[in-house]
Amino acid sequence: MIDGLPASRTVGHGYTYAYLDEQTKRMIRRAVLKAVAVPGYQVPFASREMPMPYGWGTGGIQLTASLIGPSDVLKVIDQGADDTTNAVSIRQFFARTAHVQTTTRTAESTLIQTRHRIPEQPLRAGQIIVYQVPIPEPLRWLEPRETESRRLHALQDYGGMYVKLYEDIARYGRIATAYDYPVLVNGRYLMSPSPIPKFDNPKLDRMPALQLFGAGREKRIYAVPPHTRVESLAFDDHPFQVQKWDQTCVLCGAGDSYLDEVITDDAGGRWFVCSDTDHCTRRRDGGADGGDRRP
Amino acid sequence: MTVNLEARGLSKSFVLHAQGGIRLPVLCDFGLTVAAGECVALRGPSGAGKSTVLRLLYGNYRADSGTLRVAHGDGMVDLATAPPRLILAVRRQSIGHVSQFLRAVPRVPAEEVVAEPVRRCGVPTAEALDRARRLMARLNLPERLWRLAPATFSGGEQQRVNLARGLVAGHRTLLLDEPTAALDATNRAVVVDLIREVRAAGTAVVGIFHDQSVRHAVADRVVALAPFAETQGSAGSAPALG
Amino acid sequence: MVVIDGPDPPLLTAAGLGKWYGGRVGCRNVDVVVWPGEVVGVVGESGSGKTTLLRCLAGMLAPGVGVVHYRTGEGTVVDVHALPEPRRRRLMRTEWGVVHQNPRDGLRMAVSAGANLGERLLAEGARHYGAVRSRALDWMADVELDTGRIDDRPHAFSGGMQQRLQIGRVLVNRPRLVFMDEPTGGLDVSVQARLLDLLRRLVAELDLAVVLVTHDLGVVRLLADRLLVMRGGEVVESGLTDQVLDDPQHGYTQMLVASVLPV
Repeated sequence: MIDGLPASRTVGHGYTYAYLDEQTKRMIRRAVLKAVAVPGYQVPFASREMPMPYGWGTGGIQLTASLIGPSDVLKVIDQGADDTTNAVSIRQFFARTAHVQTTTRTAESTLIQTRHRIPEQPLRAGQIIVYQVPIPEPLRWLEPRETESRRLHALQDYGGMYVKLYEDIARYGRIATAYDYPVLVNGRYLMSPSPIPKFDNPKLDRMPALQLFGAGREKRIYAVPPHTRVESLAFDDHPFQVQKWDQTCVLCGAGDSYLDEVITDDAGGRWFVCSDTDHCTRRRDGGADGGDRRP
Repeated sequence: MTVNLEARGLSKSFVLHAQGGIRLPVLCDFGLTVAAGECVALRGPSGAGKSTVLRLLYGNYRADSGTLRVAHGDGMVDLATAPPRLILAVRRQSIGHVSQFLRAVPRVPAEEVVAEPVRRCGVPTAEALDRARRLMARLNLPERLWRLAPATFSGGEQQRVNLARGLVAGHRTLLLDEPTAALDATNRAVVVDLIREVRAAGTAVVGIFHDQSVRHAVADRVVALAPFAETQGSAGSAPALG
Repeated sequence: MVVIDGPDPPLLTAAGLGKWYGGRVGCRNVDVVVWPGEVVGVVGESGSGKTTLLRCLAGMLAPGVGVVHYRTGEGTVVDVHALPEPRRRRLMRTEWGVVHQNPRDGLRMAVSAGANLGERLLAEGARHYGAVRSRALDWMADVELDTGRIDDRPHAFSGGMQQRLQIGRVLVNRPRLVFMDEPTGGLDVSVQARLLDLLRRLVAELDLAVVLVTHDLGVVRLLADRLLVMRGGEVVESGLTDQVLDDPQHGYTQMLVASVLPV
């Protein structure tokens, strides 16, 4: 029983609390429990039709809906930003259907739903981060048959994944995979971290917060429990490396965050700004700026 | 006297299933003993089964009955009853057969065709090639041919490649099927010299030599084979199978 | 049944193998012994059970009756079809290899020749790119492919080149036993000759044991030490290759040998 739940179990407009019916939420929670128990293993679940298209975060929303309670503080980010259409819509959706407080502040949130990024500010124990996942199967490119890729997972037969890295180096001189970079969870399961930049991969490792991954179209849920070992695949002579920039953020001057490139005119002018808007805002609130590069 | 090859009571007949299972006897109760350093020539009219005897002695044809003991390692092996792997080992190390026609992998250079039996005995490639080239030079095969595949060679050249391949490994027992048939006088003389040399070195040789002068020059003994029809009163000769 | 021990033990033995597809016979009553370093040819016409036998021997198809034993590199004898799947798979990518008639069945067409050659090494745990790449380059040369094309995808190769690449991909980690299903089928005769020559050399150099399925008697004449002749799912004759081809005993073998077109 969730604290503060209205006796009728419904919120305005006749919807169930947090949109999904209670049986569906239970089913998803059972999948989450199994996913937490077997880190990195993809648990099938009966994904529901949601009032939005596949690819907009139906998996993440179902996870959030089954976990959220009135005392939660929700943050939703899309490509690091709190103010994009998708992030704003999902935040409003839960504010209306689950009566939760929302925030853009990473530190204040208890539940974060994300697409494509992990916040720059380290997450703490007690927080949950929910990733929206388009393709949960890291072996899909190698083996299109689901029966066979599941067998490869069962037998921990992951040599083929290194073929992909080999191919990258042969073609580009380095491992060119820049996002959705495959990881090995707890030394056992190969896992797709969802399309986050590989810049964020080190944050996955031994994170104090619970990490949950939901793929609505593919009907899979998987998890990385707090403090779990997450290694990015690499070769001995081509170790895992994250992206680096020569520039700093023009708004806050940050040199250690993930930067987005913004084209500003037709003459090749561009800015680099923090992809994590909350991180950038807090730095500016604290007095940081990017100098006088901003026109 | 060291015996290198001893055949006793060898009989062979072919059964042709496609022709109602008729049975063609080609050899009955054949015996032959050849000592180290001895050369025996098989003689007889065409169809008498000379090539059949050589093929039986090599284990290429399966004898219906009899024993065929060949010196191998420290003892003798009965090729009539030996398992396939042992026959292969005996052929690799102890007994060589030079057939009338060369059968080689297309595209493989002549010198490698010749060197192969030596390499199969575990001799390093360079040394095997060296032995092959010396023998080919001795047989007057022009150096420009060594790197070419023998499929396009003339009959005489192919025969010399085949001979070199048969002689190169230094087998203790050698079976030669008309080794000089396609050769001119000069090369015939070289082959005669080579056969006398291996004999002197202790090799037992069984051969079919059409050329009487060659036969006289190399053979210690002549074994005459009569057509089976004449001796047994039954028709037929060795059928050409395969 | 041959026991796999003693001073000169065989590598693989199969006893009483039988496989039925419903009421139809795939193969039956087949005994096979393969010793280290020997090439065993399996010949017969289409539908004679050659490929069924090969798949049963290679652990790809469970026989209805019979057992297949294999002596591993460590010297233990295992029942191939009773092995847990992880071990059987490991065996297949370390000590065994399969060369398919169609190179597309054995190659990854979406990745480069080098990645194809390196895959078995990576699956075995190689984690040094430079080392894998240099082994791949060596094997490009070994199977007579231009090393300058190591980063090309197999699509860009001719049929003969693809087949050589497939062979290199299988042999890269020096398996002990390779199963080949019509490796020269579907190739031009000139390309075939080159491939035969290559196979012959590699088999000798690597001391490979090979089970070679083909309908081409010319191929087994050049490659195989011993032959099994199959008809209607059964082995009708077996023995030394030259004995079987030059002095065939069974009526079917005689017919097969007599059916070869002279050139």
